[in-house]
Amino acid sequence: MMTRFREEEELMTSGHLACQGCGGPIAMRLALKALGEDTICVIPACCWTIISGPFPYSALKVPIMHTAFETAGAAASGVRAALDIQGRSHTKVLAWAGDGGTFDIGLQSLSGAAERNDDIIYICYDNEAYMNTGVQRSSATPDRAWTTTTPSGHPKRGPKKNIVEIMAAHKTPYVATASVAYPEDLMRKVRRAAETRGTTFVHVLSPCPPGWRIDSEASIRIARLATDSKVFPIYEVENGEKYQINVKPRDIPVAEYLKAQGRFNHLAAEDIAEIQRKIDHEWRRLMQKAMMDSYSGSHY
Amino acid sequence: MKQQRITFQNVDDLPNVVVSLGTMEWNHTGSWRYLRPRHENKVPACSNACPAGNDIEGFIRLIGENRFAEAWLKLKEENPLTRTCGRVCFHPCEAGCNRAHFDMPVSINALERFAGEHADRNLLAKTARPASGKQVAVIGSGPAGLTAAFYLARLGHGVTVFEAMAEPGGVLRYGIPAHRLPRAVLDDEIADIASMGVTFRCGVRLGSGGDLSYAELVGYDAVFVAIGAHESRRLGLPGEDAKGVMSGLHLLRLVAAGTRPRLGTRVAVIGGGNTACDAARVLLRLGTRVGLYYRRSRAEMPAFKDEIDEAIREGVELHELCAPVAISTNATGAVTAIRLIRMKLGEPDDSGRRQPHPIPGSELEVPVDTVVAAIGELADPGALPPGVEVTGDGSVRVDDLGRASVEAVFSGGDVTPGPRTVVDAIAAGKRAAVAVDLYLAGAEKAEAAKVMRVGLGGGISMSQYLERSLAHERYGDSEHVVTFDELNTAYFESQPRHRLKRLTVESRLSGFAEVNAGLTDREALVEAARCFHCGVCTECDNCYVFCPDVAVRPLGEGKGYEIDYDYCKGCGICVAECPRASMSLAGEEA
Ligand SMILES: Cc1cc2nc3c(=O)[nH]c(=O)nc-3n(C[C@H](O)[C@H](O)[C@H](O)COP(=O)(O)OP(=O)(O)OC[C@H]3O[C@@H](n4cnc5c(N)ncnc54)[C@H](O)[C@@H]3O)c2cc1C
Ligand SMILES: Cc1ncc(C[n+]2csc(CCOP(=O)(O)OP(=O)(O)O)c2C)c(N)n1
Ligand SMILES: [Mg+2]
Repeated sequence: MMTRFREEEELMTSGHLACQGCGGPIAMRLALKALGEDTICVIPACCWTIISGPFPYSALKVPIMHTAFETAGAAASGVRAALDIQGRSHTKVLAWAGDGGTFDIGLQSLSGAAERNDDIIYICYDNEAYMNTGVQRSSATPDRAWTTTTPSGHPKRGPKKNIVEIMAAHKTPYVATASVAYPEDLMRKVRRAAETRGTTFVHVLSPCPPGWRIDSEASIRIARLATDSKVFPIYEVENGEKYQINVKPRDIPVAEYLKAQGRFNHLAAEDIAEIQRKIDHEWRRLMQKAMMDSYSGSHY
Repeated sequence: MKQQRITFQNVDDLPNVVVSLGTMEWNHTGSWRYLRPRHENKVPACSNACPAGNDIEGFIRLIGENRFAEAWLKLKEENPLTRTCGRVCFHPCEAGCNRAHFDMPVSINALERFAGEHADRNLLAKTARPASGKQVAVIGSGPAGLTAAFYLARLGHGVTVFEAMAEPGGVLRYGIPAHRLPRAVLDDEIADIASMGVTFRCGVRLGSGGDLSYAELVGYDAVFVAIGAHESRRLGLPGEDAKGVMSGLHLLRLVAAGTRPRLGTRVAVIGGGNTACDAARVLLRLGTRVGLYYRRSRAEMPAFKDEIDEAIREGVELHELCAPVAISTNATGAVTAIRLIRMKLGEPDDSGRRQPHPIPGSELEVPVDTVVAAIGELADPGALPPGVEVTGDGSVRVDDLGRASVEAVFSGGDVTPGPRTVVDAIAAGKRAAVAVDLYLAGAEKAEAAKVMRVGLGGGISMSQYLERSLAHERYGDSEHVVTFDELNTAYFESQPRHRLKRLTVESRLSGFAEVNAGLTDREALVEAARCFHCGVCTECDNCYVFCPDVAVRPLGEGKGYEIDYDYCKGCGICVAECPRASMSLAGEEA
């Protein structure tokens, strides 16, 4: 049982419009429980624009500013500046964006905010495609996955963009990955992000049952498999330097993760073997980083 | 009141900017659902495997909460001999434990013994019912008779136990040696039963040639016959009646009563069951060399594996595939040697065990001073009430509730057909107490039998019978036994099973001190934490934490959860992420 979870305020309501088994509301609910009600959300175009409900309703009990697809970082910086001028520095600003809005079109505004080190919390809930508009590939879509714009005859080619490395390269004070399969870890990281001054970034793996071609009940299991097969390691990076792995994977072959999802149905044995090699390689790199001494001075 | 839809009557009602005015709770997403989750406890595999239907996960949970005396009480509800079973039960529960498929089964037996160490007689509720005014005679005070007496007293009936021996306990006292079951433990448990108001009349043998005939049992409304099987099978060999030949049960009985028979220095024990193993281990403690001769191989020995292992560790020389053919005597008629023949295994017989066949010309002679025969025990036909139907081997024929062919006569334990173990005898005693209770009340049995059932393995629950309701706290009306595949093992960590500590062989053989050590509080807590609680909600909150629709709500500690079907979309995550299969998912009715 998670300590305190029952006492923490519920800031997301029932009745929202997410599909059955969507990881998005799970991630949002956990994040808001961790942040508390003194929070303002900035949400660019993504599924969550719809999930929260149409005017004049909202499924969140904290304010949301809906903003253009490419502007989460910039809009959050603006809200931060406005709050600071009002003397409301205690109010947390949460930019909440999909992978398309983060890895692709919103990357420049996120990079800008991070470079200025504006005091915002940026959470990307990553469902690995443009789900809201019907499963188009993004640069977060994994290698060889099916999407509607990368059909099985011509699946996506090339690795998923490593957003954590990009953010770490900004020497951002706190960058972490998290997953809906590990609620306690996710909430700890969001709390940590809130306590850290400057830009913080949490990359949350968030399964999409229709987009991944999985049963709705399998969401958490698949997310867990992603970590256990090392496809999605759970770790954190302080100041772009200090790496720490937070969940020990159960060392499950990636085939088990891939075969559980319709979006990888077309993969041949060689594809799976190649994916496994890459994952093993990335995992070794991550382990090396986690073992390295970090720079002892301050970046800021 | 839940949030309603907002309607604007005219343009002036609209806010100046696009801003939300209410939540989404007007939107009852429950209408999307085609699968309905619910919390539904199921039967853990351990309880299903326990003939006595013990609430195993329940008592282990109490240990885990540091509520040791309550854990003992919980066991006592279904088994008045928990401290005994915690030592001598062959624990079929552990064979059933789902954790075996993960790492190793939970050490349930050791935990049961641990709970018993926190026994407190003052906590025992005396009766569950007002006095009925009825009297029941229980014949025999082995585990079957003791159990029946305990529950009959709880059910409000007057109980008198008639026992042929000087003290109550049956095989627990006169068979199983003290190094496995200390007498103080047994005395204490019998005192618990006496404290329920049960009268014991020891030294009274029922039946023809006994101290009392069944006809003289006046004033009793029902009789429960639980006299066990105490007639040792004869070897049927030349020399069998020589001086120095005795049965295993006889030897154990003598030693239990404090006698130290003269045995010489070399003893051959014939047989492969519990009696043979216990006799062999007792002989070592009396200072003799012991050879144990069994006609099949070790794998076919009916004794419990642990018994065989410990006998060998203590120094019993096991000779497999050896059958006796004759006992040699000297001029004074005393045993000098045993003649044996080597055997080989052939095809399996009716029992599924491979048949032994003698190897011609392989005879051998072993010089011995004493031969102990322990090749099985039979019921004493003279000790049965007149007219009861018996089976081919003289066991009392009974129905599934222990009713014999004669009105008002019930029977169970070793004197009836079926497995001969302590826990089976306890189950029989419990079943008979219920059967007698129903008989005395003139009630129908079928409905009660269903109410009592625990899972599908034949175990029954007294607490369920007492509550007379299917809506009891254990597993609802579920007969679904949880299998390993139904668990979500992602929530369990591997953790080694407790390793039983035992006395060194040297210190064992110097007397009858208890061989196996109990658990310390710490060890018990660690072991209790290994229980998966298959099928029984522990309020881990997974269903609540993972619900994407905030539709699962805890009702407060110990009260479980409610699911708000106005919003539950039926995604099934709560069921999939339940570690212990205490939730179910079923199709919505159209
Ligand atoms: C040596 C030995 C070791 C065993 N070890 C184990 C073990 O470790 N674990 C396990 O689960 N099982 C073990 N068993 C089996 C188990 O002990 C029996 O299955 C169990 O005791 C049967 O219980 P019961 O109540 O039917 O009969 P018993 O325990 O045999 O009790 C019957 C009682 O009836 C009394 N009696 C008999 N005739 C009369 C009469 N005419 N009038 C009045 N009283 C009478 C007897 O004196 C006795 O006290 C062992 C058996 C033996 C013999
Ligand atoms: C500039 C711009 N281009 C396109 C769109 C249409 N659009 C709305 S949401 C969306 C996809 C969002 O994908 P992602 O950020 O991954 O979030 P998801 O829907 O997967 O949660 C797109 C393409 C838009 N709103 N604005
Ligand atoms: Mg997306």
